[in-house]
Amino acid sequence: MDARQIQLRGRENVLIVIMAVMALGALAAWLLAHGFMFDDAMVRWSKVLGVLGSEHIRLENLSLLYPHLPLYAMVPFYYLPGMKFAGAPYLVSVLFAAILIWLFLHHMRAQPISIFKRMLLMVLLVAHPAFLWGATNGSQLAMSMVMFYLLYHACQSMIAEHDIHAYISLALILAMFFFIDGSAVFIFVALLPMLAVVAPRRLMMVSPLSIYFILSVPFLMAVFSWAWLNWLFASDFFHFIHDPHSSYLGGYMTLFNYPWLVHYGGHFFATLLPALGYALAAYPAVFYFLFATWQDQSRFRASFVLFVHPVLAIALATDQFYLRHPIEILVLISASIFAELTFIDLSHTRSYWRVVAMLVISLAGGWWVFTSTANPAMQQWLQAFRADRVLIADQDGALRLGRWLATHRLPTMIDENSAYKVLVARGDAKGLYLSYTDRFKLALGRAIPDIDQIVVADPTSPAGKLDHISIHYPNLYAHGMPGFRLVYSGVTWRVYRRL
Amino acid sequence: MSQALPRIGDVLVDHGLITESQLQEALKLQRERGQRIGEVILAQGWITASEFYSALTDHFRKGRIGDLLVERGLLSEERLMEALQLQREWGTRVGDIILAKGWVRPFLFYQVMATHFDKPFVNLIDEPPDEGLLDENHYDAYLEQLFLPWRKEHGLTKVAVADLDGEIMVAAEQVIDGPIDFVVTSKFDIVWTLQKYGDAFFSEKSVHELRKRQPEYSASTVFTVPQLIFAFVVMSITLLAMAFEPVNTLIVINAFISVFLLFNFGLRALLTWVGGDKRFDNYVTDEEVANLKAADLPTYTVLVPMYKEAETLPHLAQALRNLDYPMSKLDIKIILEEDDEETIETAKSLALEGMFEIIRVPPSLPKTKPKACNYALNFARGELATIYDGEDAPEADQLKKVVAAFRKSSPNTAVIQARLNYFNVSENWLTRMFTMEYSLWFDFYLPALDALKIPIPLGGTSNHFKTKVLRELQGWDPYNVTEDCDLGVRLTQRNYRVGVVNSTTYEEANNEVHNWIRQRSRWLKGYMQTYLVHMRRPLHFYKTLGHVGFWGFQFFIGGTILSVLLMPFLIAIFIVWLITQTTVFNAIYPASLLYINLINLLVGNAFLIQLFMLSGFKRHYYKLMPWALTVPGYWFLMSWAAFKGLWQLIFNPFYWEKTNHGLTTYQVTSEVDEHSLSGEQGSAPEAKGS
Repeated sequence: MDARQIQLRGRENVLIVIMAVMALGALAAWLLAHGFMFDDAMVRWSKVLGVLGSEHIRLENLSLLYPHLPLYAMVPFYYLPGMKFAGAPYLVSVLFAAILIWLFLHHMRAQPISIFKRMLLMVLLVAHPAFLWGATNGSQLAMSMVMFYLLYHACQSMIAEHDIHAYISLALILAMFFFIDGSAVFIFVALLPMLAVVAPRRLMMVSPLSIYFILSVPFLMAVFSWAWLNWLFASDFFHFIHDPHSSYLGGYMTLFNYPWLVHYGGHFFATLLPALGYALAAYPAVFYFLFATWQDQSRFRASFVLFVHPVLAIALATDQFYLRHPIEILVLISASIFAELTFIDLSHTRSYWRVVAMLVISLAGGWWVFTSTANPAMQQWLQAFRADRVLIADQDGALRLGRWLATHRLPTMIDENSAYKVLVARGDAKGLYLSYTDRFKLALGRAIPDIDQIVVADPTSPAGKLDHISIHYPNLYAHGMPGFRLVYSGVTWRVYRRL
Repeated sequence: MSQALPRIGDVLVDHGLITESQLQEALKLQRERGQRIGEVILAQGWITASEFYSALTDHFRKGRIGDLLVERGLLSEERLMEALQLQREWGTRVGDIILAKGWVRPFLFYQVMATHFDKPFVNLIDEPPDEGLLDENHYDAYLEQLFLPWRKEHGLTKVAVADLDGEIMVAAEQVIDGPIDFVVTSKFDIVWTLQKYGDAFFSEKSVHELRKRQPEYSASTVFTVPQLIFAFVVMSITLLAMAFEPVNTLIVINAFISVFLLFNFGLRALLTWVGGDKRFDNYVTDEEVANLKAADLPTYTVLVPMYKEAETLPHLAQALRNLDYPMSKLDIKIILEEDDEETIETAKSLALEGMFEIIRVPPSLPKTKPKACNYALNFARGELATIYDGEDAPEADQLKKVVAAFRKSSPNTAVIQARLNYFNVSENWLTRMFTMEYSLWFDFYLPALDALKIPIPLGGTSNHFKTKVLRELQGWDPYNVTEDCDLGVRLTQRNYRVGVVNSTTYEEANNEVHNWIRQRSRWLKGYMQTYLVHMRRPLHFYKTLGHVGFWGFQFFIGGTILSVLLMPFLIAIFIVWLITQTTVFNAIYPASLLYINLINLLVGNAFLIQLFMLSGFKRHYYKLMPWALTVPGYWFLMSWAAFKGLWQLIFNPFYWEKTNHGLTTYQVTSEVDEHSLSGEQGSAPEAKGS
């Protein structure tokens, strides 16, 4: 294929990516319009709103309990008009999904297949529920998919070319993964035995430790850096593990909410079988890759890793009570299938249609797994997807309070850790004294806070149990405080204003 | 039975070179003076020597050199056959092959050569030339073609030559007035005689040529007046600002340092990625080397400056003999200081083959390696020239790889740098760190600098030049103690390209801390000199290098200097804060600067550790990789050396901190493998310090 054709491919690819962004964006908008809101997305967006709305922007106020890169990715959207009400996380997810699609098409550009065939492949891959879930739920999963795609590509390069770039890439991807996804530790540990499969044979014979060194050190440095920052800003190296609100704990603190953890949590080997079943049911295409590469040692090794690595990661994360649902990691197989396809010669009609057939079967399997095992958040997503009008979940009244606060803009003391939905519904944090501000800390040190307005949660509610104001002034919610009058009372939340 | 040759006079008349009447006059003069007819004709100036000898080739060639050597018992028949075979392969003259192989002593060889050309042989040591005939304006021509005007006899200037071919004759006629004729002598006699009489001239040239012709590039002035004024202004403003706005001033300084270091790390990350491209590891393939025809290879000058390294000389000679290059096309100059009698004696006692020449550099200041190389450059005859240090062991095919690299590079490629590495990798902690650093430098950074068109600071050895360009640039700056770094930048400024090649020269890594500090302080002082020289006219520098080249230079050369000088202060602040948890520094670390500093501290150090690991990994020195974790300790040594270098830059700028070689207990070799990394070291030269 000559340079001109490749250039033409590049232009076609841009067109396809734009179409994909539009389609995924429309789907995300549809989901939001039909009541879907993902809790993880709201927590993250509230952090961004809080920090960027502060007088002094300090990154440590994002808290060190969440990987920071997904938060940074949302920062530009804070400044875009129309973005302040919760749309940003979903748009970021869509954009990262688009990046993944662009990478896929970019790596495919040398394949002599028509634009329609490429589009068909892309549609089949994108229509997989795991991909759609990751691309539209506003969490960090879309970023993780991009990283996993690159990780798998780096593994392939390592096997095929023993290129130093592959090692550098893989080491950096693993390190960056830690700042993107709380499950990175499990992805990393699960990859360690797999390195014996992907590393060049000669290297494994001469110095097996070297590959572990070269790939592990950046990751371990990333973990150490994070621990050190925790010590620096929270006086505890392991604050990100010790704090019950930490996203690095996954489902650990609320495991009884997740049937998967209730059944398999703490059992590595017992998890392997169901994880394997989910993987095979959702991605039967993997069978084909294993079968098709059987004759080619190096390719087979890659396919093997593609399949086994996520399964091991699921088992590890479940063993440690992290994983709330296997789909959180199975999503990543979608990315590696994208990557795997770029290494398959699809110029032969037979092999192309075989792949298409396997992707169609995977679609069916994927939807079946997704619908039959969905957790509450996934069910909400499915309901919104099916266009059944879902009322916006506001059982604790946070959204209503947020809208009320948006119209009653007095300096207000509020704990954003418990009231993140309030912040999202308000749309910004201007005039709010959040838990990390000096004003908030000083106010808590007084018997009667020197603040115009105080938001407090019902101490008996789940939010109230986390709310620092409620914990510090246990009678405030029920009886108020001298010098303050009740100005708002809704489900879970009350607002007192100084007389 | 051989046919009688026609008489010389008749041949010349037949060729129309002289007239019949001139012949008659010559015969008359011959009878009166008792000279040979040829000498009479030449002395009359009717024809030139080149015309004379080209018309009379058959009269003056007595048999073939090889046969004459065999006849006289100086060479065996087998060796002659071998020489003839090599002649077919290498495309050089049999005599050059025999001399290069050292099969016949040069003194005897040139005697036979004289017989061959039917010319008298003169020993220039016993029968020195008439000094009045030597013209220093023509030393370059004497050296290029190896001849010199010897004496004047009967109106003829006798020119001593080591060979009698047309090119030499024409060159001699161009620079010597009046009619000439030739005597034969040894090429070594010519070189030694020219050294003897041209001592002052060559010394002056080697020291002052650059300073005279391009003073703006000479480090002989450390700080120029505008630079001093600039420094004074900056310091005054800083002090004033400190007096009135101390916190804000410190914040500005802090911001400058933090951002600069961030960019420095960024550039190094970029260089690592670009330089890691595997095309650089295979720039010249083994197949391309195999396809080179020996006959097409150019003459190669190898400069080997040595000082008090008598014990490494035999190993070096062997390493050079091992080069896979036609020996008759090698012009190896062992450059020794005249006061280094021990090494000179050792060199003599080794009775080195004809491809080796010993150049004795007369004492003069500054006593530096670049000056010695400049001096020897006068005597270089190769189309290409390279430098090796005394303890170097280049890979055997390096010269061929360089030739291939030049052929596939752009025409403006003036120099190609080979990779440097060490053979005593695992001798101790220092050699391990040094090896990883060098691997990083030569295997990642330099190829990337080449690709990004950022000036390459050439390494101390194994840089292969086009000799013509080297001379055009007046060679190395003798006042700059990292003359190669400076030369790399100068070349880029003159729109020449500095390339790299995938061949390695193995050296002896410094295994002793004080010795290492000496060496590193010199390098860093030289970087400072280079930075100051090229930043004398920053706008001009910017214009000649462009955006990438200019900023690359700032962050690569400037960044190297600044980072090692600042590191102790930054670490000290960090440690004080860590131990005392003082809030004193809070004021000068606003949030944004704090984040940049945190990135520099965490990411920067982690990145450096990883880079060292990668360098070991790429070189397959796997056992070195865990040692990369100790790189912060190595940085402290760097800082120590940097401050020493800075001190010397101010108080003793041209002092050449000599690095002692021969301290290793490892064998000099270009075969570094896993055994070397396990500490298996083979036989070694005796350790020696100087």
